[in-house]
Amino acid sequence: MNQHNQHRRSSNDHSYQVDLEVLKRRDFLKRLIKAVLVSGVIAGGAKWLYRGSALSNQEPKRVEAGLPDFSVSEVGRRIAIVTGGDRAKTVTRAIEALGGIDKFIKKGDRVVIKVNAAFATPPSIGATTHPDLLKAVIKLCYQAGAESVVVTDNPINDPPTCFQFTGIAQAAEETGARVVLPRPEYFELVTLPGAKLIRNWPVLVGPLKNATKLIGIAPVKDHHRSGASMIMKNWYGLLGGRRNMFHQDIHTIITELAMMVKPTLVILDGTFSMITNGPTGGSLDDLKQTNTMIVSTDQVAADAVGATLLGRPLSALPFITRAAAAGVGTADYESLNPIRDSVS
Amino acid sequence: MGGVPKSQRNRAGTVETAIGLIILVLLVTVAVWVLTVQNKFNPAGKALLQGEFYGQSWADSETPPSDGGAADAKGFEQIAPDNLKPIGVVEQFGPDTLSDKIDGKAELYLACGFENLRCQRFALRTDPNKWMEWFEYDMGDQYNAFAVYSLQRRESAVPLDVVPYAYRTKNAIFYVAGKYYIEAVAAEPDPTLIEAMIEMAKTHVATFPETPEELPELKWFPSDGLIPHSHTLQVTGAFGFEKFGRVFSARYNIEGREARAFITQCDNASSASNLAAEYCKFLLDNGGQPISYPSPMPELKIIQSYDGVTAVFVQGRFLAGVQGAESPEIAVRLATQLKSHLTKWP
Repeated sequence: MNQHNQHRRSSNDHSYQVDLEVLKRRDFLKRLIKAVLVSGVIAGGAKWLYRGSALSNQEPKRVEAGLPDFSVSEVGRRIAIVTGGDRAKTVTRAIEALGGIDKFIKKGDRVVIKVNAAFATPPSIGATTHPDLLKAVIKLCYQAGAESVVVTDNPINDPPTCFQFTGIAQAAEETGARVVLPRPEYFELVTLPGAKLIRNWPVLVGPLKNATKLIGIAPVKDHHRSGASMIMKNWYGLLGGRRNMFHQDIHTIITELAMMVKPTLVILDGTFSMITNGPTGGSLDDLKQTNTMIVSTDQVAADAVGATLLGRPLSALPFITRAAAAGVGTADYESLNPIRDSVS
Repeated sequence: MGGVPKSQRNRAGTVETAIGLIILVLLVTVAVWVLTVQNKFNPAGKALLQGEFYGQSWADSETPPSDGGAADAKGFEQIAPDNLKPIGVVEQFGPDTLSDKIDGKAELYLACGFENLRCQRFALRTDPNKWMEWFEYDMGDQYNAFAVYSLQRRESAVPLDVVPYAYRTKNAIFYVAGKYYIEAVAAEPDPTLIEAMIEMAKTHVATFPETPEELPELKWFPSDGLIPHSHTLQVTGAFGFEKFGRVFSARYNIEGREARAFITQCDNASSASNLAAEYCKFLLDNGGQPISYPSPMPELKIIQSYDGVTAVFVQGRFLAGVQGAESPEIAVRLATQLKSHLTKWP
C-alpha cells in the first residue's frame, strides 16, 4: 500500500471505500481498453490470416460455384468405339455413329476444346493431344456451323512452347481455331459444392466464359501417380496454383474434376496408348499401337474403355469407380450399348 | 496490509464480470475461427500472394524463360556435335519446380534424391524440324542416378556402348554418368539425329575425370538365369514397405517362369534379422498368407502375397529374398541360389 492510500485510509473508512471504488473503476477501465485493443488486434490479424483482404488485392477474385453445364441433355449417355489407325477417320466415324456432329454442335456455337498440351514434347511421343486429331475435330465443328473454336490448356511450364512443340498451335492455326494461352485474368476461384479439394481454387474459366460447348480431347496414357491419364485426368489442366500438391490425393482430385466439368463430348485417343513411363513417356517404345478411338458423352465410360487399352483393371484406377459412384457416369460402359465400328 | 479484507480488494462487480466474460468469449471465438480457417488452409491463397495464380513461374515476366532463372546457367552447346544447333536456352528446375517440367512423374525423381534438372533443345542444322531435347538430371550420387535409370528402363532397350548403364530406343538414349541421369529424346527416330545424340553422349562422358564404372552391388546377384540388364535399385519404400532403404533387385528366368530376386544390405546381421521380421509382418498384415514348403533353408519365410509368392531370408548382413514368384517351388529354388551366391560376400 502506498503513502497516498495510507493517508486516505487514516482519514476515515468511508472516504477510503469511495476511493477504492474510484480506483477499481479506473483500473477496470484501463483493463477494458487493453482487452478491447488486444481483441481488435487479434481479430484483425485473424482477418488478415484468412486472406480475405489479401486476396481482394489480387486479380482475379471472384468465387464461382462450379462451371457451366455444356452437356447436350437430349443426347443422353452414349459411346462409340471405332478401331483404325487414322485418327481423322476414326473420330469422324465415331461421331457419326453417335448421330453426327450436328447433334452436338449447332450453328453459332462457340466451342472450346480442352486439349492435353501439358508438355513441350513432339506428337510422336504420345504425351499430348495429337494435332491430326485436333484438326479433324476443329473441322467438324466448323462444318456444323460453329461460330468459333478455341483451343486451350494450362501447361505449367512455358505454355507457348508447349503449344508449339506439340503441334497443337499449328493444327489450330491451320484449321481456323484460336489458341488461348492461360493468363492470370482467365482464372477464377472456384468451389465445387461438397468438394474436399476444389475449394477456392484457381481454375481456368476465362476461355469458357462465352463458350456454348466444351469438348475434351486426351490421349490414353499411363500415369506414375494415378495409374492412368485419360479424359477425366485431362481436366487437371484447368487448374492453376501449385496444383502438384493434389498428386498426394490424385484419385480425389480427378473425381472432383470430373464432377466439376460437364462437357458436351469427350474424345479419348487410343490410337497409340502410352503403356509405361507415363505421363511424360519419352520413348516411342513406351507406346503401344492400340488403334482405338473412343467418343462419348460419358467421360467415366470413356475412361473405363481406355483402361482396357492399358490393360488395367478398374481396381487399379480408383478414380473411375469413384467418379461413377459420384454419379458422373458409368464405369460399366457396356451398359451404354457402345456402337462399335472400324475404319481402314 | 490491514483494513481491507483480501476477498474484497479485487472482487469485481456484476457488470465488470459480465463484460469480462463477453471479452473472453470473444477471444475464444476468434481463436476457434482462426483454428478453423487455418485447418482449411487453401494453398491457392499462398500461390496468389506469390503471383503464381495459375502456377506459371513466368506469370509476371514479359519474356517467359520457363527456367526459374536459368538465363545464367551453362548450356550444353559445348558437348553438342557440329551438326546440332541449340533451338532454345537451357532450362533449369529444382525440387520445388520439377513438376513444372515433368508433372506427374516428378515424384519418382524426388523420391530418388533429385537435386537439379537442366535441359535444352537442339535441332539438326540441316533440318530444324528434326529436334531433340537433352535432359541432365543431377541425382546427387550414382546410386540415385542408377535408381531412376533402372526403374524406367524400356523392355525393348538396346544396350549402348557409351557407359556401363546406357541404352537406346527408337528415338531416345538414356544413360548414367556419375551422379547424372541423362535422357536425350528425339522428336522422331531420324538416324542422323540419333547418331548426333550418341556422339553428344560420348563427348559428355569424356568430360568426366573418371570413367563411370558398374555398381559393385550388382555382383551380389548370381548370373545363372539372370535376365540381362534387369537390375533395378529402389532407394526408398521398395515393394511398398517404408522401412526398406536401398533395395537392389533383378529378374530371373527359371525354366520359362519369371521371378524377382532382391537384396538389401543392413548394418549387421541383427539389423537384417529384425528388418526381415518386420517385412514378413508387413506382408502378413497386408493379406499375405504363410506357406509351408520343403526347403533346404529352414529359416526361409515363404508368404503368398497378392502379387505372387515372396520368400525372405537373412545371410549375414544381407536381407534377401524372392518376390513375385509363380509358385513356392520357384521361390525356393531362386532363394537357395541367391543365398549360396551371397555366402561369397562378407
